[in-house]
Amino acid sequence: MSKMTVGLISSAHVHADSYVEILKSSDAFHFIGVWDDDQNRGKRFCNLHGVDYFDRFEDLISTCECVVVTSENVKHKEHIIKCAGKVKGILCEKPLAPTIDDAQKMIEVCAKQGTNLCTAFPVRFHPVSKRVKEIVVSKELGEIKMIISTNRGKVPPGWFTSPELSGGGAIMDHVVHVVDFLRWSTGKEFRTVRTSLGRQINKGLQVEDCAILELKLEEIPVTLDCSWGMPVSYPYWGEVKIRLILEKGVIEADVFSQNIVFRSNESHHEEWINYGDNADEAMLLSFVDFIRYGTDFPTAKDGLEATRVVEKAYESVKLNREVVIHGEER
Amino acid sequence: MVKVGLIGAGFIGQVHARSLSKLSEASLEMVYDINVESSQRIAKEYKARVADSFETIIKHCDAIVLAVPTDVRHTYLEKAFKTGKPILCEKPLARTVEEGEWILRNVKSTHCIFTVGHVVRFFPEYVNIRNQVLKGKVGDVCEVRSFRGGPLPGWSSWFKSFKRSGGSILDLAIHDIDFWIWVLGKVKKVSARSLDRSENITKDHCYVLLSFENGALVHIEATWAYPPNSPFRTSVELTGSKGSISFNSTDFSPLSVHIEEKSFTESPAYLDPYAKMMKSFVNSVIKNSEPEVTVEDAFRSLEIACLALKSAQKESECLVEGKV
Repeated sequence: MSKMTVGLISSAHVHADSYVEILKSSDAFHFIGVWDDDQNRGKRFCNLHGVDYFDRFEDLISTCECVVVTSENVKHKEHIIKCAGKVKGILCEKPLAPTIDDAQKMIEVCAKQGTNLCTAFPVRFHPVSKRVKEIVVSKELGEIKMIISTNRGKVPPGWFTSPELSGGGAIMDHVVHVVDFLRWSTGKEFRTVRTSLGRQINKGLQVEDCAILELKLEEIPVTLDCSWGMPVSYPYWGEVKIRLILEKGVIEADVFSQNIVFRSNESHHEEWINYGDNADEAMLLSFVDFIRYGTDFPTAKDGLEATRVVEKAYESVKLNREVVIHGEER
Repeated sequence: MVKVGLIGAGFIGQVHARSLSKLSEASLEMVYDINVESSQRIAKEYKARVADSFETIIKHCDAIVLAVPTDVRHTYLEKAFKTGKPILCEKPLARTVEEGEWILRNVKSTHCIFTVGHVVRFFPEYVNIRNQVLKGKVGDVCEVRSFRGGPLPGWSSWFKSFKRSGGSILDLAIHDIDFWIWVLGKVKKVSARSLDRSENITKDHCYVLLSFENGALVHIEATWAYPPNSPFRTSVELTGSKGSISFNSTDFSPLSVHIEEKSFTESPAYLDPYAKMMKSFVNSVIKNSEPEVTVEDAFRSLEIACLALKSAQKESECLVEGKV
């Protein structure tokens, strides 16, 4: 199989670092380079990772079969539309867009231009997630009765906390991973959401950082904690934990817990080093299979559905009541 | 497609059959066991044929997985070596250093592909610990405490015979002995004690204290002393000049499933460590290349483990290479 030529649009998102290391070293890819609307940031990023920087967007896009877009959330629409029709496929960082309107516009343009638009949901590709889905689908434990989930983390750096670039705080950043995982593993859609905000954890932020969502996944009650509540001294970036209460038992998944513990003589807090399989790598390799053979991959529709939950969660904050995601108002 | 023949349909034989079923580049062709029912069970589950004799397997398969008790390996190997076919042999390499030397000589003279099931080298947590050490994250390794074990294996009785299995030192501590040699290099001195070296072991517990030439001190503990149904558990505590690394298999639980009477925990991976080891073996068969775990590696680990047995018997420390 020939290698997929791929470029990176913007290095704004923290996940760009992980993606580029895989893209430049994997046999499945020929990594062309990076374009960034912030030239200084782009050049710094390229120096750090030893890859080429392109001054002109056109020079990069014309040599790429596919691109990965890791710009700020609110710029996804502009960048996706810019790439549509020029490449076979686009893998867009999550959330696909900060609003349903943006997501729909992006999907429409890409469909018209014949470009495959996908959403980066790596959690699906982790072997722990795959096993959970396997057990759920087998029905060995019967139907799911309730789901308790957390995707908490530390406050991310830079633009993530500027609403004009991120579109929101912890809800915008952390809701979509678990939402996508639950849609994917159960095949069910979310019906309603009610958001409760807690007292601000990190002083001086312009965006919310403490929130718990109560959702209905069809008939299943779900809570999802998306807070940026991990203290600076926490040994890891955060967690994705899911507890499924089923008719005949309980499944507990702690997706990023395959860790060894490092304690340094130079710092006063411990560090966890993950030895689990690399979900980002599995996702990028599956993206190649999707483009080449049409195998299963999170599409723009999956991205849109996750964004729908996010937008409705914010609406719930504003209206201070439960909001319908899919279906009729009660 | 590499056609593999499995000799030995016991507990670990079954694990190897499952590993083969996960690989697209190899298949389980035939199974042989002196207990026909065991081989029939595996053959049925993994759609393989039952071989009527050990010789049939050698004749019909491209590669051999030898999963028979430690003390009888060399009798099977004698015939296998004559064909020069690739062999994955379970750990430890042999019951005694003399048998190990005989295997080493034969592998060298027949130039066959030969690897040994030191599976800890394929566990991602151990690989990661080694990588951190090699890239200098903890500085110089000063002291290591390494633990492995649980209840006495209940699936077969030959473990209980010290003459056959070598007890917790040769059957269990050998994993950690091999791993830490892989990380730290040459051993200078060995001191060990174990509880039960009888022909009817009911529980056993040992420590093996290794002094490495680079100065590192490694304390290995392997156990069959816990009550039945206790979890099998491994842990590492490593102290270096720049910091420490620790791991305990029961501290994190990536996936736990609680069902009446059959709850279990798992550490999911795309390919589990046993399948990774099998893949590595099959790769070396396909490419006709040196295996990741060589017969020399396995022999070195066997030598140190046997020195530990000697130390436990004499109740005194032993220097490596007869420096006593």
